Amino acid sequence: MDRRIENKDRRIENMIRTVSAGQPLYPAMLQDIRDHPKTLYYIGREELLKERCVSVVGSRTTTNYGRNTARAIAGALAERGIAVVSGMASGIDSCAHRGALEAGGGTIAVLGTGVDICYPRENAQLKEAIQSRGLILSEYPPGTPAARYHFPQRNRIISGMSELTIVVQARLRSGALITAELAADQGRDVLAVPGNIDSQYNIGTNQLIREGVQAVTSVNDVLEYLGLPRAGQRPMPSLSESEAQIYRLLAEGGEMSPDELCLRLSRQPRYLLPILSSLELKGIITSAAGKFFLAKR
Amino acid sequence: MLMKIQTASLTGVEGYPVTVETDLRRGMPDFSVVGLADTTIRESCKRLRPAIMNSGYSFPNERITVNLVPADRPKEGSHFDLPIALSIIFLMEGIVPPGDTAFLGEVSLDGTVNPVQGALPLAISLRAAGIRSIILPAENAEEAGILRDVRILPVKTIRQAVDHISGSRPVPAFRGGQGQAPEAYDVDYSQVIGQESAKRAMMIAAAGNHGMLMMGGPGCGKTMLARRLPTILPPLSYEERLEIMGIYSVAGLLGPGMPVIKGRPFRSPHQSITMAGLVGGGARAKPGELSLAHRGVLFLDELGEFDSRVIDALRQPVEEGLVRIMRRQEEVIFPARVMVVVASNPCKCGYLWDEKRICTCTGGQLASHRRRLAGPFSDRIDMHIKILPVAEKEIFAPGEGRKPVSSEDMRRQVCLAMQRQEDRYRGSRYRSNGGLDETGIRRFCVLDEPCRKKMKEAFSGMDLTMRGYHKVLKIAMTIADLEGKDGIEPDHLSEALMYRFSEEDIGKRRS
Ligand SMILES: [Zn+2]
Repeated sequence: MDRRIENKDRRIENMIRTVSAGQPLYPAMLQDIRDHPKTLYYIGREELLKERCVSVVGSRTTTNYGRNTARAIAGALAERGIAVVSGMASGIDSCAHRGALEAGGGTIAVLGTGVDICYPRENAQLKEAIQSRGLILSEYPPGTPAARYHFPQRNRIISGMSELTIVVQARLRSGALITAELAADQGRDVLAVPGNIDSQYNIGTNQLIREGVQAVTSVNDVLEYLGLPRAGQRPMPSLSESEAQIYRLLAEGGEMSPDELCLRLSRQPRYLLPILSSLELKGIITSAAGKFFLAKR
Repeated sequence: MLMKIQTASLTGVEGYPVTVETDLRRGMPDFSVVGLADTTIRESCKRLRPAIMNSGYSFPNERITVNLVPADRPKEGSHFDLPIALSIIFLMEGIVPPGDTAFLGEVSLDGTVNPVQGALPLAISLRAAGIRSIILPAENAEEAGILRDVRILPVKTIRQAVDHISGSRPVPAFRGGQGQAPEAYDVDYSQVIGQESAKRAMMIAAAGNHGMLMMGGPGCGKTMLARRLPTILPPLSYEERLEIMGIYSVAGLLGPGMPVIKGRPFRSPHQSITMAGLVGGGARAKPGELSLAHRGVLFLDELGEFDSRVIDALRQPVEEGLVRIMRRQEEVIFPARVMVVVASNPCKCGYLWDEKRICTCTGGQLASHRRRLAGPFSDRIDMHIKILPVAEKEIFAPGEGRKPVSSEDMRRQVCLAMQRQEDRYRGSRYRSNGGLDETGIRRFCVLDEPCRKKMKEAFSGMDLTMRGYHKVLKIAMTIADLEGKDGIEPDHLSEALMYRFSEEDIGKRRS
């Protein structure tokens, strides 16, 4: 068993590369910040170091709303050749990486540990995927374990290499708020996604907006902000009259339960449920936690 | 001198007539009971002497032998006191009781007659054996009074029973008990505002007898919805009510507080319940919660909190519709035809789906919560529904022609759908869509070309397993029955797919 661990370590060890400040491969935007790291360790596609970067960050505990928004924004950016930067934490960070990978684009995970360490452990599969299709990056030498004070430190790299930081969903005192603050200090732009004002999950992001951070009201807002082409309407499978009506309601209203939809339509569940099901089957809507919303397309 | 009088005995909830044969013979004074009587019956001999003498009769100074016929079946219960005591008194007083009269009751030392457990099923078996009048404890009159075509004669003392038979002072027959009252429930689905799609799901589950898992956070109304299920099942028939009351009578649950059963039962046992408590058995072979829910609803709230072995023990009885317990070489059978509804929080702390509160579960807790729900009993559960708290706007939105659906509306549709199933399954071994096995599904849930196409899409597009596929077909059949259609249509499948199990919803938060 010991030998297997050793072998695995050696395999990862062989994949690790370094780049130092001043070298051509070192990310230009990161070089601009005062306390930029001298050396970066990385595994994966090094060409991403030279891409335009946008960071998408948020809390570890999230709602469907937060997760879906993170995926949608990251996906739209990655589709347009932007490298999506985040911290590979549970919750929003992981969704941002996944969204970018699902869109077939690039993503950079900046770790607070050595690049050979997987933290949190449950993200082992995600880390594998980022290693092969994206980039894992850290200022800490290989073998550095997780330590509490590394994570805020690491956040300055996330914001530092990105021209824009988007906070998708943050609770009070979330690390993502530190990233937003660092970005502002570094003279970088920050956007925040507003959320339900009753919800604990959104207090941090809503606070950012109150303090003057610009709100993201749609994925197109982000694309426009970066001067990227807006989402082109992909061909929609043909919808019946009743399906189209429900599609419009969900497009306007966000996520809704079947009962809320029935209320809006003044119809009975026996009318609504088959339509929801066939929209789901067509991949146009999806559900979680008993609510329905438009699928990321 | 030999006296024969009629009483009955119980095996489980089934009674059978027993003849008490009492013989008085000169010799050493002695009192013995034979015929597989258990110790409680043999003990009663000691009580009967003072009871008889305190009632003002003389006790024979002779050799008394009581034989309980049929002698080859084990007998227990204190209700043999009265018939044995009366047989002795009748012999001493020279009274001959009519052959169509039977007796049951426990007696005290002072000659009063006390209530017994199982009076109703005892009386039912006597009625079936051609008995016309039954003398029994006054406290049991209400439950036995549900029986038509047999005279219930309630007595409070041994003396009253003797006076009735001798003709000196007849006991008036018990009349007009609550048992004849119409079925009634103190809850109704019209009290549930919002939740219309959950109510629709309850109706489907009731119509096809589909086991159901309700998932939702604390306080979202799972229990409120489940508790009202009995109100939409078909009206209780007289025979069904007798069955239910028989079980409650044997369990000792009928009494002054609840003399009769007014509707289909709803049982919601606590998670700490033992196997004997749930399926029945124990030292005295009592019916468990499962049988107390017979012809009604068994609701297991927070399924994951129950001992998994206890839940496992439900499987066979729920499938068979009865519980078998071996007791003293005899198989005791308790009926257990129930509709099973289980409920669970979406996660251990309950707030996984809550947008306003924070779920504090760890990844490991979420995974173990999911594992507990996917346990062995889950193949008895066809439908999975998600319950969300009612939004405020729904509570304050009525008036605009949106009257909440009432139990009466729902029950009417359920009855029609059940009628269609009865017609379809007549002569087969099936009773409901929920009870179809694979063979039954292939035979009855026939899909035409558009339906097959829909299911092919569902197979590839949704996380549907083969078992999930079969459940969807059964549910779709029930929806077709509710809509009054002879065959499954694509829309029925679409709706049925909404009730499928989806791993997505159990324990997935941190993606
Ligand atoms: Zn939780």
